[in-house]
Amino acid sequence: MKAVSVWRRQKTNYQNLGIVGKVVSKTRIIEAPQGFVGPYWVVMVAAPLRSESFEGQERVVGQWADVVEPKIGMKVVGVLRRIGEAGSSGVIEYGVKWKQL
Amino acid sequence: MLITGAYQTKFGELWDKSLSDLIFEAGSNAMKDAGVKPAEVDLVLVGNMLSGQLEGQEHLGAVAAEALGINQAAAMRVEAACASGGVAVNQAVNAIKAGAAKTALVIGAEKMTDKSSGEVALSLMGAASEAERQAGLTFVGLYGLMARVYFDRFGLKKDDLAHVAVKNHRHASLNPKAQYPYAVDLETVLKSSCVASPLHLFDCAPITDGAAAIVIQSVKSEGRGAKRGVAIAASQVATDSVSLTKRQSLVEIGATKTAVKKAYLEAGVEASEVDVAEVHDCFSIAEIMAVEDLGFCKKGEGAKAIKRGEFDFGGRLPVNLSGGLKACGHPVGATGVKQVVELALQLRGEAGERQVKGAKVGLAHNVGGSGGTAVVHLLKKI
Repeated sequence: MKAVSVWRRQKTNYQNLGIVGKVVSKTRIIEAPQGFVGPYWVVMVAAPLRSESFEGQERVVGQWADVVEPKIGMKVVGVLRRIGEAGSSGVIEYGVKWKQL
Repeated sequence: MLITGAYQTKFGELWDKSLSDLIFEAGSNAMKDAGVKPAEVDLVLVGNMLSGQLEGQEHLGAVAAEALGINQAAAMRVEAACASGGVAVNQAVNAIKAGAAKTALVIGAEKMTDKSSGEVALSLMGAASEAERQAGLTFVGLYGLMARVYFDRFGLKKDDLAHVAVKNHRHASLNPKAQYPYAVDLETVLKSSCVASPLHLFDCAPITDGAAAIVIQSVKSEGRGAKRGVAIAASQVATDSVSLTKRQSLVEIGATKTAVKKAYLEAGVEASEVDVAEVHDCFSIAEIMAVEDLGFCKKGEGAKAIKRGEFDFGGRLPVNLSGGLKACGHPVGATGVKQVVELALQLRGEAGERQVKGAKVGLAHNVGGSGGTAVVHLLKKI
């Protein structure tokens, strides 16, 4: 991925940093797509909305970054982690993964 | 509006056939079935998702026209992820309704097995949101997330999914064109390895090469096919958010409910009048949600109804007699057209060992992505 693409995605990659939510679904990926090495957990988290124009909660997806297994209903927090390998551009992409609060 | 010609190639790992070979076989045989010459075709639509990424070929409309000797017609590719085939049929119907075409050839085709499963999985994720791709999700994973919520809501267990694969393999054993034309038992399904929890290998449609084609003509058309034609009573497409996180519900496909509601209204048909259906069982949980969303049973009752045999050959409403995506195979762009081919054979009374006696109304249900697009066609015997 080109450096400019990674740079552009920083606008959204960090928006869930420090957000507290709860796990509403989870899946353990065994057969990973190219560019990822399985197995790893991906969780869907319900978190408070950042936008003031809506009420309630929104859902986000991200990889699990904790030694304990995620459970439905578990309280979690978004933490900064590396989310991609350095490609031909040499830029390492960072974003948010989730761990138990 | 009539389907006057229909043909499906063998589905499977077709190492000796290129994408062009598959397009030619399906298209030429559908025209032959309809009694239509290439010069009579004025619209060629090719449903395909991945030819650019997997084959390096994006200009499929012109490729198909050249292969089939159709020189003057408008020709183009239609892409809507795994619903590419169904949307291609819909676009042909709309073109004929608008008077822009009289005889349309719709081909669905995909060549997938030349690449590794990791490469194909990555390419398929082109139908998902950027956040889902960044998270390392696959389509099995996306449906795994839905399955987990469904399990918790309706008290389902992994074992309850297995009856979908057993049923669809049993049906495929009656279809010589299926990728896996053999039955499997419950134990085999349950013992298969996990791909993305809670879904296992036998919960998943395979990677497949294949093509299917139909000829659609206005009712005024004549020819061999018109005399035994099948009417397209409704053709509806609906969309929902591409991102799973933005859906109202995770235990249904909202686009399916929207599309089928419009289709029943257009055709003047109720769910109880459908005699045979081909639904989008890309994963076992998808078939369970589909039979509910299409109105064949109540929400939360799909798995029980499948286990009771209600959707078996010989049951009250046979579902996926072709073997479905699970056992007939899932060459993604071809699937939506193949479903219509299967129903055309059923309504003509030409489905061989898997023929539903007296079938008059058929429903085809094709989904793109994790539910971003849904297409429903209702066909009637005339």
